Amino acid sequence: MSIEVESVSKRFGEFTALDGVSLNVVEGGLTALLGPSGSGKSTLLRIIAGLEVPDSGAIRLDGRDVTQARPQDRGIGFVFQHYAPFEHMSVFENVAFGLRIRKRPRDEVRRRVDELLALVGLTQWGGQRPHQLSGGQRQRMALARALAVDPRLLLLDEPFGALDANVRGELRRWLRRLHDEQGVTTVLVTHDQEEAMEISDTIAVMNAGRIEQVGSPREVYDSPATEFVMSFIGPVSRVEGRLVRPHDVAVSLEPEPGTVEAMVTRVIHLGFEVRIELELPGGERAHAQLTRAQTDQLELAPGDIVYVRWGARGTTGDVPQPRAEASPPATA
Amino acid sequence: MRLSRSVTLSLRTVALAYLVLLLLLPVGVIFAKTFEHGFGTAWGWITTPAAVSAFWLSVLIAAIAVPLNTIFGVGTALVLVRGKARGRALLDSLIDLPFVVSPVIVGLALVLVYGVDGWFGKWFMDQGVRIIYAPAGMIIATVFVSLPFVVREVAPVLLEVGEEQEQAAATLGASRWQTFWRITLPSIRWGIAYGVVLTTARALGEIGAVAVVSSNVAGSTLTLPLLVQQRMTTSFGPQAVTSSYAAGTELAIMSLVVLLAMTLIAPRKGDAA
Repeated sequence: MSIEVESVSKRFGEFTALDGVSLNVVEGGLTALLGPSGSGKSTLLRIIAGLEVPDSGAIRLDGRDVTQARPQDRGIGFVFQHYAPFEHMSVFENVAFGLRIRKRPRDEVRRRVDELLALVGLTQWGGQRPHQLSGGQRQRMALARALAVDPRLLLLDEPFGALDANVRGELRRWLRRLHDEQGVTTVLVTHDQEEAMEISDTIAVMNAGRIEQVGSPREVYDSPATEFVMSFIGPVSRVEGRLVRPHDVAVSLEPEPGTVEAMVTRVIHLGFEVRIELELPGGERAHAQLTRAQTDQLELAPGDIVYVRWGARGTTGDVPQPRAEASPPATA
Repeated sequence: MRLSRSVTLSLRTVALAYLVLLLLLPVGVIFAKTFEHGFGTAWGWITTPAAVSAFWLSVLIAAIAVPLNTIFGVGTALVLVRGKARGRALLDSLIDLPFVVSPVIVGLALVLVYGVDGWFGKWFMDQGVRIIYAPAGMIIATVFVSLPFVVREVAPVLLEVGEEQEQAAATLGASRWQTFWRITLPSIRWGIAYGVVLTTARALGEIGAVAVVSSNVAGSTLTLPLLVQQRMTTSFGPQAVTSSYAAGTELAIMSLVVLLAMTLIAPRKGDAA
């Protein structure tokens, strides 16, 4: 299902959650709404779902204006951050809920729910109550429940936010496979840039109620449209008035044209990578990311004077771009 | 906070003594006095026509007041917790009015409004409906004094359960009505149950407001508490004591049955609330 968000604004009292946001999502893709807390990403997702009504602007699903439509009339599946399990029902009944509401025949419900429980690996757990499941299992139950009604659009609000790091990684890959198999258009909200990079085809980076950039993970990383996007996606140092990525910093022991002098303050070994903390003569701090081989070759130690080049990459603009350009139609 | 052994011990003694003196002893005495002259005598006193009539009137009043206040209570709790309308703060404080106002005042207010010379009383009399000094007025008085219990038990549960399950149901295609029956009601059922117990206990036990609007005629407008009071104050000798205590015991047993019923259907530990 394709989504068109057109100049949507939403205020909660004095707080502006969304400020004229426009976004196009094409059918079949997996899009991440990425941003810090308070950037408006969850509000945007809830407006697409119909759980909030925008103050102005329009939402179209497959070209149909649904701005005022109720959630139950939108053909969506929604997974809540804390899964919102129906605590008084068994896992089976949770998944069956949407089908029962649609008054599907009993044997069809049975078959479909069994199928979904197998898909999410909860076949053994159908008779349990949600509170007897682990966090990851509850998550998968919530997904199965949302998928039961064959939604044409799946919306997930911080789907992995409440899980342990290792469970999170596993579920993330699992969700991506599921998406590839089922092909349901999916939009998820996350504040974790690594998660967004790993799982999605398209990332919409949000900040302070606006969309700063929409693009593939590679585009937003390699050609960030604004300083915010650059600093939010991946580590950066600010030197000489601009942002640089640590792995774009070249370090040498001899001065070369275009290099500046810096002092090594710390050498941190992070396995394959080594992080070199630097201090410039003016007192500015930066860090460089080198491989272990490079570091061994340079024999760096705290107090050494080195010569660094900041690399060619920067934001495409270095100044915030006009909003119309900041949210072009997404291409998948 | 850790307390020394002697402090714990004396605190326990004080609490126990308090309970025994104020709760167990009086109730125990009632039971003892009731069966002083044997079970047959006590049974005789609660099966007199006046006592049987009082029993059924109490049951009738509770049977009307409790469902009314349950429906009203759940609706009001939903408005207070889920609603977005203005004036909720005002409604919230109005709900507690029956707790704050003395029941006798409630009775008097009802007389002023529905009595023969009251605002609506005349109109009702013209229709041939008697409210004050009749069971209708006693039901209204009971509804009034037992009104806040369900609201006050259900509202915090609604707040704690939160809105997400209801929103999830909506995204799965449920209408508001379906969501209410399938999601909201089951998740607040224990709050409702406790509210119903408290409402029932109050409806059965209320005397102040009901006394004002009752004509106190044995066999027609006496509830069990009013019967206890009447037997206590209008007859003399050991008969008075036994007869009123017998009615009191009957009342206590009714309340205990309600409480027991609730305990039996209440959730066991570990069961999802």
